[in-house]
Amino acid sequence: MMDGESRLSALENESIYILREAYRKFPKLALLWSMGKDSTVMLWLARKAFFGRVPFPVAHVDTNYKFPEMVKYRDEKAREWGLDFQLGRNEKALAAGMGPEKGRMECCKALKTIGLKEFLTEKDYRAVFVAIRRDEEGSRGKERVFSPRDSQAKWDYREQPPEVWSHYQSEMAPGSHMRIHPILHWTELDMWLYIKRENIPVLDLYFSKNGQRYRSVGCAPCTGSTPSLARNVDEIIAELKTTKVSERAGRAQDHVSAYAMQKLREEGYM
Amino acid sequence: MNKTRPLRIAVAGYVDHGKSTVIGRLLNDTAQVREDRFNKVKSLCENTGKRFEFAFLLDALEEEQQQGITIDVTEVPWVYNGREYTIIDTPGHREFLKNMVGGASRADAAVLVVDVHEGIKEHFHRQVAVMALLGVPKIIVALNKMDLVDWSEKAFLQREQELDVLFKSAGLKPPQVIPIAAWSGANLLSKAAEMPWYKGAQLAQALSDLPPVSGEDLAPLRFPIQDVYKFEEKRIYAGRVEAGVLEVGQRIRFLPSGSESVVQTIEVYGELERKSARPGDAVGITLADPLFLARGELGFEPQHPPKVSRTITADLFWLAPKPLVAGKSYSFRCGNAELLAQVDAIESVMNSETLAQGEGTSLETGGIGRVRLTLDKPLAHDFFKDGEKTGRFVLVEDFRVAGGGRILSDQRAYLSTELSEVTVAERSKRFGHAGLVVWSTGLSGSGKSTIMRELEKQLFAQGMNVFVLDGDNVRQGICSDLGFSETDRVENIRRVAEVAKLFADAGLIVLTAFLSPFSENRQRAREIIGAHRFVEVFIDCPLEVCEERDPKQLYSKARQGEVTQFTGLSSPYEKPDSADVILHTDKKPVAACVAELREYLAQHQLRR
Repeated sequence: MMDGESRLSALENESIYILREAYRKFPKLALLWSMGKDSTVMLWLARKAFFGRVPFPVAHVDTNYKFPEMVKYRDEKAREWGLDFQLGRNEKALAAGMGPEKGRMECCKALKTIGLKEFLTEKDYRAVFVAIRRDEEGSRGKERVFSPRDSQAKWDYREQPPEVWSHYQSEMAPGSHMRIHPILHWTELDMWLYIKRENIPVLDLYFSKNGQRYRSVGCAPCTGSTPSLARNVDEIIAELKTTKVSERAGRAQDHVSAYAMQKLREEGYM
Repeated sequence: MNKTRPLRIAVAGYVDHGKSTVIGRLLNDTAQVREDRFNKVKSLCENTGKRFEFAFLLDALEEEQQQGITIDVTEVPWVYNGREYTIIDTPGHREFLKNMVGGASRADAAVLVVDVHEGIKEHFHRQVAVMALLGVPKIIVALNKMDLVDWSEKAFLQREQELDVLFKSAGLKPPQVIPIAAWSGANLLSKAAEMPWYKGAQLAQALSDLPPVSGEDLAPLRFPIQDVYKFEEKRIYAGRVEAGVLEVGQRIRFLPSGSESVVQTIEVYGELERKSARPGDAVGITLADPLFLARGELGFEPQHPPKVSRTITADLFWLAPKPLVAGKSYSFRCGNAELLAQVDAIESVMNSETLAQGEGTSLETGGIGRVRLTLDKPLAHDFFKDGEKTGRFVLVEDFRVAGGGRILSDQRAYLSTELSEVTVAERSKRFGHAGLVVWSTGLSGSGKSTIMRELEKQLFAQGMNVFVLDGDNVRQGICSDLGFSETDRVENIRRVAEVAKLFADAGLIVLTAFLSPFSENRQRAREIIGAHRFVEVFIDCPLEVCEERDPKQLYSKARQGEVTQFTGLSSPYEKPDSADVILHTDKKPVAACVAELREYLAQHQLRR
């Protein structure tokens, strides 16, 4: 069996290279942090890439439907890590009563897709780090590391720029923005092995209570827990090595229809 | 420490030759598909009345599933026999060649899936040529759909023969060829009973037999600067080690600037004392001297320098919708260096049928050819054959990677510092000093020649090999065709810099005495010669004093209008803002100025 440390180091090195490349190319950018394990690992990698300081703002596009413990964890870590923290929220949609009961796709679109789009426009960010991974679901599997979005934040998955020898698209037409995916090449198991190696603090929601845990954390109404006895990082690693269920099985918006996530993402979802 | 990462295998093949099925089966038959994902594909196929499509496990986009093609590349992890792989599923349709190139460019090996029944299509030739150009180290061909030719050995041998010929014309060794039937799994994981005549490895076994990825740590060090951060008082040069080993205490030189220093620390956040970094490591370093280094400078050990070129010859693949044509300029990126490249000439274009090089005037989408490029600035690089990572580049058009190439070894092309078998160190040892250029600049009459001639006399008396270049000896010969227009003056300085560089390569101390009024020009001279052996001396003397001295009566001629474009009067003089030495000849006598200059050289340069 291969040396796991080296595998993780290779993943880490590639992510750090991407983070530095993006920061160099897009001085006006932000990192999207949902407080889930993936974006927390991405944030951790950013701290490592820039020698302990995160030289760009860290943003959370809030839906007001997050688990309360996520907000507490967010505020705590933002202080501890000295982050320039920013909050985005689609206030208009929330005031109009948007919620999952109006339709899951509609709700995701209004609170997350449009919430993000408006946040980027308002702050004039040209690029944003997003912690998606290829192995999460099919349409993310087809993503680029530097993934351009047009002025409507749309993803043209039919015409993606070639990425050859670590050369990414680093300029674009005015009005558009770049999604940068520094952990695209990591798997779910990699995340937990790295969380263990680096001893990264993660939300308690991931650990089993009363025989249930969350494998993927999003908004409370649309995130289902899965049966699990894994109470700590080691037990989660052991569980993932044998599980027959994929990570986002508990995320309702993925299963609305066969190509639900592709449709959401084409319109600018993360 | 044995450093390995998963082996990256690109799988490619023409539409309907069964490429995604091969991958789907490898995953499925080794139980590496999650149940709910399998069930999703199953119900999707049942609802549309199809048999189970293994390809849908990867071809996840709606268009891909409906049209039965792979549009874009994806990657999936795979474990076999305890070894980890990343399988890169790349499209085979010609229209999506750019996506295939992206996937294959990060592969350690490739599996090309060919329908034995349909045979080898023209597009396949192009794929093989691109793989060869990308430098994919190992190619395996899986001859699929053997059931359609009744598992016939004869059919297999015929295709194998064709493949040998094709690979040879692409400059590759014959590939390993494996007969398979992906839909039934024949010869993927286990031996197919239908083909007892086949004695070779099954596909999975062939992948197991691939050698581990080499870390390239035996190659000479290549450390390109990705960015420079100034945090508090620390200046950190960030970069990824592309080859060799970076170590604390090591002497490191950078090109094209020519700066040199010592690696003081290797910075990795969370680690107190990192002593070395190996290929692939993204680290930061601090240096003993606070060098000004821009992104794109290439760090190396002084005894193993890269090449520095303004023109390169390259084999190039082209992906952009607009054809590549001679005369056009493109953004050029090699490692972290970003320049402009003009296509001087398309020397040949590859015929995609025969893979032979022929004449051509443009490279269309998917085309391959040999080109000569002129760069707007010197580039530090290797030849592809000596160092892949620092010997390859991409061209960018309309914001996107439009093509990529490998730099060919071409003696015409590069400005070598180390062509000779005799090393710089050997020359320095014999002469007792290293090659050096002391470049003086100042107004006419400021005293450049006087000081340089005096310095020459003193250093020569001390046993050094020293020579003065000035207007008197240069304008008579090598620059006798040049006048005094701005263009000619720029060219004059360029030639002087080139001559001074050669003399310095030969181990001489060169003293130059030229007005060289333009900073950009002096900067060019510094680049040509190399900053580490270039000393800029500003002979600072007020215009009124120079005019009063007027040793050649040039000021009076200029005042009378006999000489036009005269520096200081009718043409500007740009003072250096970072000269190494400034001598005020209006305040000190010649002897004192020369002594001051010798003192500087003794302290900074001549000791080496």
